Amino acid sequence: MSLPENTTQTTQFLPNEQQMKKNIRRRNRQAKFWQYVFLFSIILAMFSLLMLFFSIVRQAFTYVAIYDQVNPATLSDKPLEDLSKEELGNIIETYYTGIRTGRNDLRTIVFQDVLGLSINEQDSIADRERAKETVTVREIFEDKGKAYPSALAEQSIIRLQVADYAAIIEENLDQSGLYDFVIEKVVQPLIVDSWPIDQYLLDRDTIDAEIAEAEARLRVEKDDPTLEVSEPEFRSWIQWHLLTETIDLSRPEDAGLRTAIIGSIWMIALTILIALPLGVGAAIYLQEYSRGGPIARVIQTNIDNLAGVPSIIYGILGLALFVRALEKITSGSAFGLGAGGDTANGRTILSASLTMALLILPVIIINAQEAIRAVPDSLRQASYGLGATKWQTVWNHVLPNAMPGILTGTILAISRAFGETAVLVVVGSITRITVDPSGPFSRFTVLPLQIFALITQPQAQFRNVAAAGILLLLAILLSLNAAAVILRNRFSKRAV
Amino acid sequence: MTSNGKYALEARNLNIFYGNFRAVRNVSMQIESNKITALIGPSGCGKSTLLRSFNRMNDLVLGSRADGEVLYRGKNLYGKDVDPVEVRRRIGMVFQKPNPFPKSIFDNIAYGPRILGQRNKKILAEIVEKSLRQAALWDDVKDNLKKSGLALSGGQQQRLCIARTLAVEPEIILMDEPCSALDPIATLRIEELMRELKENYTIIIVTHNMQQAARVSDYTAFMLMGQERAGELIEFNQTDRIFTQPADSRTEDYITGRFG
Repeated sequence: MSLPENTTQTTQFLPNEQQMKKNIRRRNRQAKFWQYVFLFSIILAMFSLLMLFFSIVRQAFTYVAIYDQVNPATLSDKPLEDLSKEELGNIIETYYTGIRTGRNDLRTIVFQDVLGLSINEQDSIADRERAKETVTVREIFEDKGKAYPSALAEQSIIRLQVADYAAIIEENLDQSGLYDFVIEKVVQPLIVDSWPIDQYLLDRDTIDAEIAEAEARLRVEKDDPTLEVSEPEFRSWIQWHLLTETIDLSRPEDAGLRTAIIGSIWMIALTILIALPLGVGAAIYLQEYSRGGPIARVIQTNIDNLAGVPSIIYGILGLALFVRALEKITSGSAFGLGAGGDTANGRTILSASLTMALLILPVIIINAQEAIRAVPDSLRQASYGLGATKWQTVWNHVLPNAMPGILTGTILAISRAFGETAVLVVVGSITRITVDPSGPFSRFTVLPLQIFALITQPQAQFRNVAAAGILLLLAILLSLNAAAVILRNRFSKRAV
Repeated sequence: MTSNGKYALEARNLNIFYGNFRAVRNVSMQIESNKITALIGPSGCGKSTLLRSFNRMNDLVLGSRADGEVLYRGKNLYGKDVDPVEVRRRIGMVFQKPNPFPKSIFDNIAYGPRILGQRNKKILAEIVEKSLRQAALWDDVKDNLKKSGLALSGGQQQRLCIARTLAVEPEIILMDEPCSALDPIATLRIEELMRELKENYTIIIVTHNMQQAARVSDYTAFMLMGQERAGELIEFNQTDRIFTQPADSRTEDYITGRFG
């Protein structure tokens, strides 16, 4: 494709037609080359992202092999799910009679799972019994509206026998409930090993070999030649109990992340509460009020540089300042609050949030300044021209119009804070904590740290829990961002 | 709004600086009430700066400073005890580019009264209607006051800005090239509006368009960049005289199009 030759005019200062035709091809080749380079970098980036995602997902959805700690065949001749309520009740009774702490275990189950008694209620029952008073089954069960065998009505609720407790459980559950109970408490299936989903699809031989090996090993260990390890079955590690249970470092299948999730949410909420008003305020001052003198320039330079300081340094600052120096305030003892017997010292959510707020403050300030600067000057002039004061102008025009930009910056900052670990390690977050934080003055842990703790466990299945935790972390982060984006869009719409 | 005295504003030896740069040198002029005064001159001659000094909008520019006096009802606007916020309510301003707030038409106009403390919804609605009528925009927009001010055409936006200025009941209206971003028809409508408004208001307008100055203004001030690039007032007189018998040859050169 080329234009017909220009015969009426020759080029004066440019290369001649032939040369230009040649170099047009060269110039186009160059353009193409760079186009492919850019395309390649995008493909590379997408590929890395996909690999990352895949490596997490394959750990969160696995095939597992299970063996039953109590072989169901020894409990009954028939398959367990076909048994009647009485037969299942008998299995429970027999099983708990057989173990030394059976009576206590069953009582705990009745108190906590059937009756839902709080620790305080349990204590008060124990106190009354100690004072030689009889707390009857009727009293407690009728108070809680639960069923009980009428023969037990006048008996002391804590002095029942294994058979009585088993009867109470039988009374309160239907057949399928009892079946689940037997599986969970009696049969106690245990995960022997787990394999990523892709390995299951592509490499069954290895898995079968590993199962056979595990079976042989367990048969020797448990001295039970009939012991069987199940065929691999699918298991999603993303389960509801991740949200509802606390960390359990003995059984990966029961480990939950509730404490860490609550800790993360507390920390982020407090951090936003501290950093957003401070950051936006500082940005407003620097953009709208400051006359741009040498002091303002020094402050500005410092803010710009602080945004790049490694987070561990903020952690050390937080440790020295908030955890140590301001311990009275951050532990809550100055307000007569705090963890009471639980000696959190200054290593509280408040300390972490203050430190985290310092960490993201520069990011918020810089983004807010950018957003405020982008508000057209004509709006300010129009407002001033009507006799508005500075504050009226800022509040009515500058802030609403800068809000989308400010929120965008805040989203970035929060995402950073949410995934931050170094700061929190230094400030004193604890990983093996099973008590939910109850307020700013509690000890706490956060999701990323909990995930790290899980990965460092020796048992391989904790890595599956960690993978599920990572997906959860991503999901929370994305929903946080989505909320902020929706908020931002609402602001932008209102501004037009 | 009756005129108080013959002159609405009087500049005395006014010098305006941006940092060390003197933008306007020694301007003295008297602006008659209920008249339209035009400031003309080539780009960079300081006419906008002069205009903005009349309601202390220049204060918003970092490093700006005014020397001399601008008298309003006998009071120097640059006196120590004068609050620029109060000045700008009395002396309103319309800008070169229409700059409605990104809000509804109603809120655009109600904003001024609201920040000044008028919260009564009925009165606000009255103010909005009255201002829009004065700015000859009421018939165009009365059915959709909730519409964004930015959805109007350029000429309508500028009239909205004028209505917005009128809503805070100023005495003097400063207009900084209000028609330079508009088409000829919209320009004519604004000029017509200015003629109506001068019944009640004193208007000072900066314009690049000499025909416009000739068409609408009663007085014309011609400015030119003098020594050290500072703007100077060359000639100030009734518009007829400036355009027919200018006293200064530079004025004549400019209005006849020999330069500028």
